[in-house]
Amino acid sequence: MNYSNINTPISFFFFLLLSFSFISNGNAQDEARFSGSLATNANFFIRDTLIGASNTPQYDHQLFGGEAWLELNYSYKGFDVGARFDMFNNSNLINPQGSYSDQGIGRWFIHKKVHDLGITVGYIYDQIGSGIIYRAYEERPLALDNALLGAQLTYDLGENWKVKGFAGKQKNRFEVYQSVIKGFSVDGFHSFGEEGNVTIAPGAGVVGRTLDDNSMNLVVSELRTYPKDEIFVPVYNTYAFSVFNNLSAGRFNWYVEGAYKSEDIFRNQNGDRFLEDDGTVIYSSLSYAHKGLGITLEAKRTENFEFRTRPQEELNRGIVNFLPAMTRVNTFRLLARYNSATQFLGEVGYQADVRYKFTKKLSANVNYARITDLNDTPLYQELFTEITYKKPREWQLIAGVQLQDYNQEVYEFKPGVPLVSTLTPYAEFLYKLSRKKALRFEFQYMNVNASDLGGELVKHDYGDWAFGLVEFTMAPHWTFTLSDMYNVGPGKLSPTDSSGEKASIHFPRLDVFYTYKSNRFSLSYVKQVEGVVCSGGICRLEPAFSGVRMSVTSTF
Amino acid sequence: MKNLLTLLLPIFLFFACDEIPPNVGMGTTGPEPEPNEVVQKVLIEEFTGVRCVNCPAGSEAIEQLISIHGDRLFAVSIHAGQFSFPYNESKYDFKVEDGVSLLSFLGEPQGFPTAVVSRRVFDGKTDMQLSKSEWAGFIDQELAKEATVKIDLAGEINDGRVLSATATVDFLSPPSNADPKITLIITESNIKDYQETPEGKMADYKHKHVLRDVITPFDGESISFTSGESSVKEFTYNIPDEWNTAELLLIAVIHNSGTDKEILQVEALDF
Repeated sequence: MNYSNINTPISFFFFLLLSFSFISNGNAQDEARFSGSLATNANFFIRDTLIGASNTPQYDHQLFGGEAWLELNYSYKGFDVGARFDMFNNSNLINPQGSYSDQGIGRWFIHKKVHDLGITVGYIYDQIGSGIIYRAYEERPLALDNALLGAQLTYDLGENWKVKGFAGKQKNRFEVYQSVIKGFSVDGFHSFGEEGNVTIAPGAGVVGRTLDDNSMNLVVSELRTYPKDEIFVPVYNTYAFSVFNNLSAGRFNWYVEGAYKSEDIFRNQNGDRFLEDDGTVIYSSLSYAHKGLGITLEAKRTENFEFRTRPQEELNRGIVNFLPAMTRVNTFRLLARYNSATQFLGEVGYQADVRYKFTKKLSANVNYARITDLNDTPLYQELFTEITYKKPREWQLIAGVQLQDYNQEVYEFKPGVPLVSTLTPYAEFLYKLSRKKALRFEFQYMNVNASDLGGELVKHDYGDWAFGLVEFTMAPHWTFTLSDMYNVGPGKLSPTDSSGEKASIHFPRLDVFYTYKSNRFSLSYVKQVEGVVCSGGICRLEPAFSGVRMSVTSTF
Repeated sequence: MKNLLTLLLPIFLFFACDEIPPNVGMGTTGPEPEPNEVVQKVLIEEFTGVRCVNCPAGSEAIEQLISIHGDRLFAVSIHAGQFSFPYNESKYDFKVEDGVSLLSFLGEPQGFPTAVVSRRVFDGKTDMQLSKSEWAGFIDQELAKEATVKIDLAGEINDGRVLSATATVDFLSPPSNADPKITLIITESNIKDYQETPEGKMADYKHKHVLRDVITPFDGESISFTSGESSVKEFTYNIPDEWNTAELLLIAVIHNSGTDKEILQVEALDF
């Protein structure tokens, strides 16, 4: 086992842990609290060349891959310390085409509040405003963990205002990026009126990133190969400023944030050239809620707001900030197949969501979203409708239709493929067999548009899909799910079988879940088509998966 | 509120500071070397194919890098992988067994064009294959290194088309690798044949630095190290009739073996 990745501060952490266990004196207020969580995935790979689940080390000879995260936290007399052990064994989470193995302390931190001053050192997760200029967070399914290894100080100015300053380097798996990141923010709160039903929560922040020498040298080397008119003078320091406010007045809530980033080096849309420019983001969200009606309107305009630790990083690596997603999160399988990944270089997006509860039994939801690039090229459009009818304690029916336009060329880096348009009716029926037993059915059918390809009408992407699911729940412990995603009308990108015809492939899935208190176990047999997995607009191209998946999550 | 402003003021003043930018001058890296100084040279091994539409851009990038670095940078274009199968109308098949072995040996790429610089896995990368935009930076980084090996390469091709070459290798410091090796590569440039380009299939595309053969085993031949002494290796090779001897380049590569395949020094000889 390779111990070289465990940082020396871990010995300091254990020293603290041991010293606290000795000085704990049993006083209820000073009682030490020990908590933690465990999350682990184990994948057994079964080769399936037809769906493309092959040709990676895991499918060829490793046959097993897994990840685990074990978090331990200790609180005592205002001190919080924690450490997290991360382990990757032949994992395809970080690079879907490769195999990654490493283990060590993925995170440690020490936090203490001294009167109004808060001190944190170690790996820090935090954000400024909605994250537009700075967000350090973790998203395990995307293999994203951009915690800041450094120090953070917060200071409470009175009851309603808080200032925060931080500096450090961003985590890069078990190492750090060499560029230095520092920031400062101020957040406040104020209420007006006698009843205090109008409140504002303003704030402002600034983040600076200083490029390290090695990364700058690589930029300079590349610039020297550019034509003279494309060479620019690269900058080491980039500053991003943002100002934001949340206004709450009676039934209305209005959030607005504007951000500006000074000149920064980033890749062009093709990814083959560096550009240098400043950037802006303006984002706003307005919502209204009264009795059974809820309306939310959102708009965002982004220009040149790619903010990374170094310009050479690609995809989801080395990102310093987070731009809010402009589309709804769909939970049904076929409805969630196509997602709009946040475009950092240029995007204009709108979203409107209306919910209305007609009676206690009947409610409806309509959502419309539209995203284009700065040249008005359509990237994504969605019209989502949903009606829910409940017969309390007996059954519940959810049904609706979703229409989508999806620019696969931009989102999935597939040059030349046409726009995908879908029409997907869906329904979910939940039937309570008894107080503890329930049965749930899901059905979706996705119609995809077609275009003329050499005299033949060929459906775009994978073509039409049908999805069916049956789930049996035995509360409080067991859930059994059986589902199938069937490529009923294969399209341009569907694989061809041995006879040269487009294959209509089934992608079945069988899951067993067991929940006991705060522990959850799952065992699944999965055949999954290649697609995109997104969380908050940050996406990852997920290759086809064929095999058995086991996962355990536990909190203690 | 007043306290808040006093707190924020120095922050805003800070941003008035200017930075002195780096020098993006044109020309070769660094000062001219001393007369007897051993200069570090770099090998870039590009993987390409006649059916690869984006590969001409890669070859063009390599030509530009050679024009910047002169005789400190040598290139090999290895036709291997899914795009290297010749067309029906192609005159030649540039695929050679040693090239296919090298592709597997150095690692399958994610896409084309792709190249390996000094057979190194650079910081922040998971494998050796690099995309076009990364080549310039890593080549500069390698050229800035201090040379640890000196290669003297001499040779000639006689009238009977027999190539005889002698490589004299001096390790300026004892090699850290247990089994350093020498690989001898022959390339031929300016071969006109079909190539897919963004403007369509070109019949008389000039293929440069095409890997013709690896004289040693594709993964090298062991070279002994004795402190204070040069290692001398002699080679002979029969040049096939179809090759144009004026466009041939013989490249000698000294490299590590085992999991670390890093190239220590390169030298080339033309005829």
